[in-house]
Amino acid sequence: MCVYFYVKRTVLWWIVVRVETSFSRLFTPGVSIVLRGVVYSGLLLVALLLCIVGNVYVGVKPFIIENMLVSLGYSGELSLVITCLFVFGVVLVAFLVLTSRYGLVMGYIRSTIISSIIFLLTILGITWYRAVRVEGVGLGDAIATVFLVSFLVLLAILDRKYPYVAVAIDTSKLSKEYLVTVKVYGNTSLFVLEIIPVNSFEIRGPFKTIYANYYELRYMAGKKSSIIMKYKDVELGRIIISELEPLLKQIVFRAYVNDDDVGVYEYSVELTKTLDVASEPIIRAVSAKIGIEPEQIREVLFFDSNGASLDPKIYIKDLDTDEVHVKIYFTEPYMEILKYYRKESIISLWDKLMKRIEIYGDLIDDLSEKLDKAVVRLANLSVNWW
Amino acid sequence: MIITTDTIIRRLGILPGIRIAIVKKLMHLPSSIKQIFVDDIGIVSLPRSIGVSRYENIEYARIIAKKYIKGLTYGDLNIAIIDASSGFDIGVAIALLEDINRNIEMLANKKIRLIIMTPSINDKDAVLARLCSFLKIIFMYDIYLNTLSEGVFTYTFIDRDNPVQLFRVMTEFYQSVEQPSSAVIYELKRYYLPVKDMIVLMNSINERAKLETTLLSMKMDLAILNTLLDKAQPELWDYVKNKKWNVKGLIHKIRKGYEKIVSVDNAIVKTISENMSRLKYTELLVDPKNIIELLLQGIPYKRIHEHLLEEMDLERILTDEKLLPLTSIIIPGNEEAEHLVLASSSFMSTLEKYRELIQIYELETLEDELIKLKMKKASICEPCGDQKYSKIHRRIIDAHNRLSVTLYENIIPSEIRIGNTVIYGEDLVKCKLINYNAWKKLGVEKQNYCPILYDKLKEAGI
Repeated sequence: MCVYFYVKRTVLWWIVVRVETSFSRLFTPGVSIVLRGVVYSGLLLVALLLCIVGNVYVGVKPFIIENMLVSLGYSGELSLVITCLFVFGVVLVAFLVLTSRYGLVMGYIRSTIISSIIFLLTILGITWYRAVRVEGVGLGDAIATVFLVSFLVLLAILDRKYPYVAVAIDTSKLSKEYLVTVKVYGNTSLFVLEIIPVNSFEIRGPFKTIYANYYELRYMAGKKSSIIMKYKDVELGRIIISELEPLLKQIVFRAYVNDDDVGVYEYSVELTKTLDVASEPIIRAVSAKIGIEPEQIREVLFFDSNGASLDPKIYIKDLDTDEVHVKIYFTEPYMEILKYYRKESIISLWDKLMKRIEIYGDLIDDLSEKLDKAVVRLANLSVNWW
Repeated sequence: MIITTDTIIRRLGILPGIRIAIVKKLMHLPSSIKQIFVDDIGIVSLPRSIGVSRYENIEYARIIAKKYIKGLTYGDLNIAIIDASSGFDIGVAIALLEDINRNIEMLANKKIRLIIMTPSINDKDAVLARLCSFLKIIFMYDIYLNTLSEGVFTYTFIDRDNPVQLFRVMTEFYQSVEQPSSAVIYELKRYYLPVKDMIVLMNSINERAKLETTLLSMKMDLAILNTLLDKAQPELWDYVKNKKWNVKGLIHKIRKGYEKIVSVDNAIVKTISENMSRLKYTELLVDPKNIIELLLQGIPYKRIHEHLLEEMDLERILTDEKLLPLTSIIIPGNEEAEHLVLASSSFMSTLEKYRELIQIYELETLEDELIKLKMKKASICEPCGDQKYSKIHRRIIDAHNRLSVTLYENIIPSEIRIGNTVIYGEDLVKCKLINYNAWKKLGVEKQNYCPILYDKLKEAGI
C-alpha cells in the first residue's frame, strides 16, 4: 500500500500544533470512493451492454424468469418487460439495504458491484445456454467463460481485501477549537478509533450525515497524542499530534468530605478539560487520604466560591472563577445505624447507645473468659497427639 | 495407693490416681495428694558425692527418706512410679522397699508394683551405673519377696524417651488389671479418633468470631457516640457530664479483647500446625476433615461416634501385627509376647465381639482412643548368655564395672536388709544381674550368680 506523510504546522499566539499523518492513500475518499466508483460504474455499464447484446442479438433468454413467463403463454415482449422490472427491483432493494448499512456513497459502490455480478452471471448463463442448446461450443464461448470466471474470482478477492471505507481527516480546527474531525465513509460499527494516551482526546460521535459519519475528537490534555484508525483489525493509518502547548489555568480546589473541610489543593489545569475530569486527581487523593475506596463515593458536587452550583461537564476555559469547592459524599458504615434512631431525641439515643455498649462490654468479658478456657483446652489437646 | 516422687510429677504432670507424693522440694500439689516433704537435714557425716546435690546420692536419699516415710500405711495395691535416673527416686524406692520388708507380716495380701522410668542409654555413666546397682537391689527384693509369695512384687520398665502419655496409660492400667509378673513394654501403636479435638477447635473458632463481631459493633457504637457529641447541641454535653462515662475502661476492654483474639489465633495455629503433624505412635482412625464435615452437618456428638465406628474396620486394626518399637534399655528376649488392647469406653460396645481375638481392657481416662501394646515378661539373666532371657543393655553393666571403688559408696547403699538378713554394699557389687523370672528357671547354678543372696536366703530358710 502506498503511504505518504503529511506534515502540517500551525502556529498561533498561544498554541503550537504539529500534525503528522501517516495514512494509506487507498482509504482517502479520492481513491476509495471516486476512483473505485468510476471503475465499478464502468464495469456495470459494460456488463449491462453485454447482457443486452446477448439478449437482443443472440436471442437467448438468460434470466430463468423470462423462460418461465414464455412457457406460461405470455408474449415475448411482455415477458421481457416483466423480467426487466424484476431485475431492476432486485438491484434497487440491494441498493437500499446496502445504503443503510454502509452509508450512501459506500452503499452505492457496493450495490454497483452486486449489480455487475448479477449481469455478469447472466452473460455466463447466455454462454452456458449456447454451449448446451446449440451444437458445438465455439472458441469465443470458452474464452468468455474462462475470462468471466477469473474476473468474478478477482472481484471477490478485491472485495475481501479492500474494505469499503474511506476516511477524511480535518485537523484545521485543532489549534483554535481543539477539534479534530474524522469523516468516515462506510460502516462505523467496524471502525475503531484508538487514542494514546487515552485521556488526551475525548471522542464524540459518530454523527450521521447523508454521505458520511463523522467523529469529533476534542483535545483534553497532554503534549503529544496519536490517533490510530482501524477497520476490522486493519490499521488504516494514524495521526500523530505533537508540540501541543496547552494553556493552563491555576485553580484552587477546596475539598470537603461529608461537609468536613479536608484541605485545599491548588494546581494548574488544562483549559480544555471538563471540571469533573480536572477534579478527578483531587477526589482520588482525598479518598486515599481518609481511607475509603473510590467506589464508596456516592456523590460529588461542585460549587464556586459564591456557593453557586457548577455543572461537572463545564470546560475549564468557560469557568469564570478561580476557586472550586469539591464536595465528596459517601456513606460511613456506622452512620447506617442512625437511620433507625432518627426520630428519637438525642438524649434517649445516647442512653440507648450507652446501654448497648454496656451489654457489649459484658459480652466481651464473657467471651474473653471463654477464650481463655479455649486456649487452655487447645493446649491440653497436645497431650492427645503423640 | 499410688506413690510417686517430685521428679516424676515435674516430668509427667499429675498422673491419675496419685495419692502420695514424696518430694524433696515443697510443691504446689492438689489437695487430694498427700505430700511427704523430705527435708535435707544436712547431716555431714552421711556419705555425700562431690559436685552433685546430696540427694543424688542413693545412700543419703535412702536414709533421709526412710525416716520420713516411716508409718506409711499401705493399701492392697501399691504402685510406685519412680524415675531411675534420679538418685533421690532410687533412694526413696529402696527406702519404700525396706519399709515394706520391715512390715512383711502386714503385707500378706498386698501387692507392690514399681513403674520404673529408666534413663536413656545416652545418659552419663554415673547415672547408668547407679541404675545398675538399683536393678541389683530390686532384683534381690524381687527374688526374696516373690519366693515368699509369688506375684507380690512386680515392676515394669518404661524408657525415659518414650511418650509421656504411656506412663499415664500404664499407671491406670495397673490399677485395674492383675499383672502376674514383671514386664517390659517394647512395642506400641495407638489409634485415635480426634472428635473431641475437632469440637474444641471448632468451638474456639466460633467464640473467636463472636468476640470479633462484638468488638467491632462496640467500636462502631463508640464512633457513633463520638459523632453525636461532635454534632449535638450543648444540652447533650450537660447530660453526659452528669452521667459518668468510663471511656478508658472501655478502650482497655477492647484492647484486651483483641489480645485474647491473638492468643486464641496462636493457640489454634499451634494446634493445627504443631500437634497434628507430630504424630509418632498414633494413627488417626478418621481424617479430621471428615469429622469436621459431620460436625458441620449438625450430627450430635454421640451419633458421630456411632457413625464413624460403623465405617471402621476394627478387626483389621486389632489383628494388625505391625506395631511401632519403643526405645528400651531392656532388650526383649525370645519369650512369648503378650498382646493387649487398651480402649476407651466409647469403643467398648463395638469391641465386645473381638474379646476372643485379643485381650481387651477398658480404661476410663482414655478418650476415643485404642492402644495396642506388646509386653514381654522381664526375665533378666545377665550371666546366662542365653537368647531366651531379656538382656540389659551392655553399656549399663560396663558403666557399673568401670566405676572406681571410691565411687561405689555414691551409687551403692552401705547395707540393705532383705528379710532378716543384711547384705553389705561390697557383696552387692559382686552379684550378677538376675531377676526372679530368670531365677525361677535356673537350677543348681543359681548360687554361682549371686552366692551371697543364695546363702542368705538359705539361712533364712527359703
